[in-house]
Formats: sequence, C-alpha cells, structure tokens
Amino acid sequence: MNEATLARKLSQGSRLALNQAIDAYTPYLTTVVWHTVGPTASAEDVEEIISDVFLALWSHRANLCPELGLKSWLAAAARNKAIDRLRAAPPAHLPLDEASEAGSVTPEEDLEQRMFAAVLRQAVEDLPPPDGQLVFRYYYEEEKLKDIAKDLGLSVPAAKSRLLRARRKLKEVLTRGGLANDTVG
Amino acid sequence: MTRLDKLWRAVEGPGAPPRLDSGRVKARVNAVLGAGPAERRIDMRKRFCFILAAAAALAIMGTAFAAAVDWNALSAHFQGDTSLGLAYLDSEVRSVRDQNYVFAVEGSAADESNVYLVVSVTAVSDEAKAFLFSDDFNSMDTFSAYATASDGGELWAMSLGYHELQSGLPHCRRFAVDIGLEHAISGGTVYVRCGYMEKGKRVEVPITPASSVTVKIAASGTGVLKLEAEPDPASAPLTIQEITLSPFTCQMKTACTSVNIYPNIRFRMTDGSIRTQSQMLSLNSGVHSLAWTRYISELQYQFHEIQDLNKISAVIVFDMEYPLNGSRPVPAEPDPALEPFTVTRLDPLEEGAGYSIPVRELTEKLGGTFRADGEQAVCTYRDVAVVLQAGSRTALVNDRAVELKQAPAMRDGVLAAPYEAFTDAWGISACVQREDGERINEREVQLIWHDWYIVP
Repeated sequence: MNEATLARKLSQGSRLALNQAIDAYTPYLTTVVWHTVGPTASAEDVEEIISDVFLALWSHRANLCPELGLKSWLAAAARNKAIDRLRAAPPAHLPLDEASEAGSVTPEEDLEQRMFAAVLRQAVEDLPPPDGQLVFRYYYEEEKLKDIAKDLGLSVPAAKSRLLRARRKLKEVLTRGGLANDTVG
Repeated sequence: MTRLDKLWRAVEGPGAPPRLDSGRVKARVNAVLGAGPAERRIDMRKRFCFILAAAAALAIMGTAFAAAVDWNALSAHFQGDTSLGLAYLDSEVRSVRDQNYVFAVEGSAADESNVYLVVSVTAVSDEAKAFLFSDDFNSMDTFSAYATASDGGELWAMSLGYHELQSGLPHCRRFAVDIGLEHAISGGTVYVRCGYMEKGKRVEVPITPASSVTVKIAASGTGVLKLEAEPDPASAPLTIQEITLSPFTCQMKTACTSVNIYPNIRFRMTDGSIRTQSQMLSLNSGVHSLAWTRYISELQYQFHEIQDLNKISAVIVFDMEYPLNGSRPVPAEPDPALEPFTVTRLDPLEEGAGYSIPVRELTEKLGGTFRADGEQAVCTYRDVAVVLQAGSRTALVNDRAVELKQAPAMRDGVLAAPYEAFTDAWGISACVQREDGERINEREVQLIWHDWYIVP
C-alpha cells in the first residue's frame, strides 16, 4: 500500500491502516527520534514518543492530506514530540541500566550501537552537498533513487556512483574515529 | 534487510542499527485506542499536567501578571515592563470561524527562534461551550502550528507550548502560545490552527522577527550542573561557540562531553552592573546531538523580562567579557560570590511536596542578611527582602504578598521553606541533585538525592 492510499484509508478511520503505518514507519521514526533526543535516551522513552506520534496521527486522521503522504507529517510530529520530551525531561544519564528486551544484546552493546548510530548520522550530515542529502534520503528515508537524483539534478548512474563514494567516505571517517569495527581504512 | 542495515554493514558498525519492535508500538497504541474514552482522558491528563500546573501557578501567583485580563503577546509571556517590546508587537486580530468555534490570534511577537502569541477560542453553541470548558479540551492536539519550509516545499509542523490565561468571558478561553522555529521558514508566515475546528481552518500569522546580535565566543571553561550530581564540572570543560541575543531570547551553541553541564554566563550592563544568568534567563529548550564523543547542544533561554539590547554592553563567559559591539574581548574580574554552592537538603514540608531549603543557611551563603524574630524571618539579598512566617503560606517580597506552595516550618530548630520562595524573588537557580545508586530491578535504579545546588 503506498503512502497516499495509506493516508486515505487512515482518514476513513481504518485501524488496519494505522497498524500498517506503525509497521511501515516505526524504523524510520526511530532514527528521527533518537537523533533528536540523543543516543542516551532509553528505548522505552523512544517507544513512548513514537507511540504518541501514532496516537496523534490517529487523532489527526480526518485532517490528513493523502496527496502529501504520511512520512513528512510523521517526521515533523516525531521531532516535535521528541523536543517536547527534551523540554520536559532532558535525557540525564547513560542508560546502562536499560536491559535489552531481546536479551541477546548486552546493555553495553546496546549503548554502543546507539552511540554509533548517532555518530553515523552526524557523519552523514557532515558529508558535502549533495552527498549528505543523497545518503540520508536513500538510506534513512528509503526514497527511490530516481526521485532523489531528479531532485538533486543528478543522473541515476551519477547518484549511484556518489552513493558508493559516500559509503567509502563514511567508513573512512568512522574508522578514523575508532568507531567502526574495521581498523583498516 | 532495510537500506539502513545495508549502510550499517557497509561501514561495519557494531551489531545492527538500534531499532524498536513495531509490535510493541502497536500494542501501546492499540491499548490506548481500545481502552475507551475515559481511560484515554486520564492518559492525556497525565501528559498535560504541566500545562495545568502552569495555569495553577499563574492563578495563585497573586501578582499583577495574573490579575491582568487585558493580555497581549508580550505581557502573556514576559514579566515586568513589556513596553520595550511594543515595537515588535503585532496587535492585529486574525480569526477563523466554523460552526462550533471562533479561533483568534489576538496578537504576536517574534524573534528568529520563537513566536509568541495570545490566542482565544470562543464557542458559538452550547454544545461547543461544554467541550471548550471540559478537561478534554486540553490535549496534545489542541493547537498546532505549521510553516512553509525554507526550500519552499512541504509544511513543517513546529513545536508548540501553551498555558491558559484569564479570559473573563463566559464563552471564551484564552491562551499564551509559544512556537519554536526549529526549522528555517520561508515566506515569513506561520499557520496556526485549533485542532477541534474544520480542516483547513487556520490563521495566517505574518512574522517579522526582532533583530538579534550574535557574539562569537569559541572558548572553553567550567560550566554548572543541572539536576545530575555528576560529573565534576571541572572534569568536563564546556565550550561555548556563540551566543545570540534578541530582546526575547538568548541562544547558546555549546559542546561538552556531558549533557549535564550547562553554561553560566553573566551580562555586563551599560551602567556597569553585572546581572547573572539566573537573574536574567530561564531555559526554554535544549537540543543535543552527539558528534564523536561530544554533545553539540543548541540551548534556548528566554529572558524573564524583555531586554533593550542597547543596555547590555557585553556577555561575560568564563573569564572574559565579550562586547556586543564586536570589539575585542577583555579579561573579566572573577567574582567568587557568584560561584555555585550547596545548601543542606531538608525534608519536604508536606507529603508529596519537594524537598525544602534551610532559610538562614541559604541567605548567609549567598552573602545576604538574615534576621529572625520568633518564627518570623526577614532575609535580604540583592536588595529584595523576603519575609517568611512559620505556618503561613503567605510571604512578603518587598512588602508584596506572594502565596507559597507550602507554609514554612521549623525543622530541628531551623526554619525551612519551599525553594520557590527565593528563586523568583532573588533570581537564583536551585535544584536538589541526584545520582543513580544501586539497581533495584531490571527497570529501576535507586536514586540518591544530594544537597541543594545553588547558582546565584
């Protein structure tokens, strides 16, 4: 189901569409919220913020514009709710006390992954234009490459080539910072 | 495998990207939606207790601030004489109407980071009035604000906070609304709507930001703590990159290895006097992002009172004074009396209240004067006299009556009072610091409470 169809179903009051939206957008909103509240926020806090975003989506369903899709609305709502959370209670401690739900990841590993995610996101933002936007929209927002390329004034092969170079650059940058597992550039 | 997984693998990140189980999000959402209206209302009430608390605080302040019914976008958001901001006040009333409500933006003022509004919602039917004055009216979606993104594209939803003002009208509620301009906007217009009105009913508010001054700092030094007792501020130097001042706000860009360390700047006024950050500012919002091992923070503070920037000659950061006119910074005189210190933490004065503060110890450590007469105390600091009486919730601040949340009381021969008795009157910051103790179970950690941490 594409974004516009999902938005239309939601505006008609479909709870099934809401559940499909949660499945489809939770991974994306996780990166948005964690980026805003910082990697030390607990998984439970992030989960709560994202739940609030979908509750707000449900409250707003009658006012959705299907032609605008859902992603930008959800991202803006997630940022706002995350900022509201920061205002109310800034993340104050490293949540080494936060036990992994899955049980297969230790709290230290969990924190390491979140810290790495924050550094990776920063490194993506620090890429020179248009590579930062290209990488972000392709890997984080999962937009179609041809759409991104068109917006950025690139051919699809050129965009692919830039993505490849950007990945190499990111690995190099992250390795230099001692954060990637690889010690070779 | 998502594309992010592929990128993660390409850069050889540890394990997998952090993610949440969408099933757990679904369970939370469906629990609320399936719980029935009554339970959902409770959930909303919990979330908005801060709004109600703010409204209650306004109601009991007993000051001219709460007594005024004739609010404007300046007096609703700032203390003291707001006439300095009149040049930035747009008093034109703009409104939209549907079959239930008239939603009006009664005035606005803005700088480059915030928009301040007074809005009103007037019911046009008995049914609408009943909802307007019900608890359900206050929710996360009561008001929302949007702007066109700077690239001319989609509408961005912006963060928004509000608290209620006295209306004095039987069919109308009025609110002070502040909107954060986190995203650069184009077109100089913000769209504001009330969530209970028909789709498309929104008020367009033109924005003309007050001018601001940015001072490049790029210096490191010792900051102050906020709430958390660790780390030692001296062990984690704080870098302040730049400070931007407008008549309404002060924004600081900082970097530090800890998110618990905040700036503590001072202001040199043109008359030569010095005013502290606690006297001038309150923290409005903070956005932190991690870059390598340091948190890059954008902190936004709001001035308690609207400022005439011509009367601030410099900001004092660490040991240097940075003139607002861009001239060379000069060394600043250190003032040990303005360094943070601790005061004994006393038990709450009532069940459910926060910790109380020993009046004499606080006053004397600040360098003020304390005079006791039986169970009455007169404490003076910064030329502001606070008179407290054990057992009475009414305090006198320079002879003006102020209602306290709890009555001061004697504790082991020491007069204890709620800290709010002093923070507003004297312009100081106070919090009881905490740190994590032993783990209680998988989810909970024992909290260890320390003494009061005072920043003059």
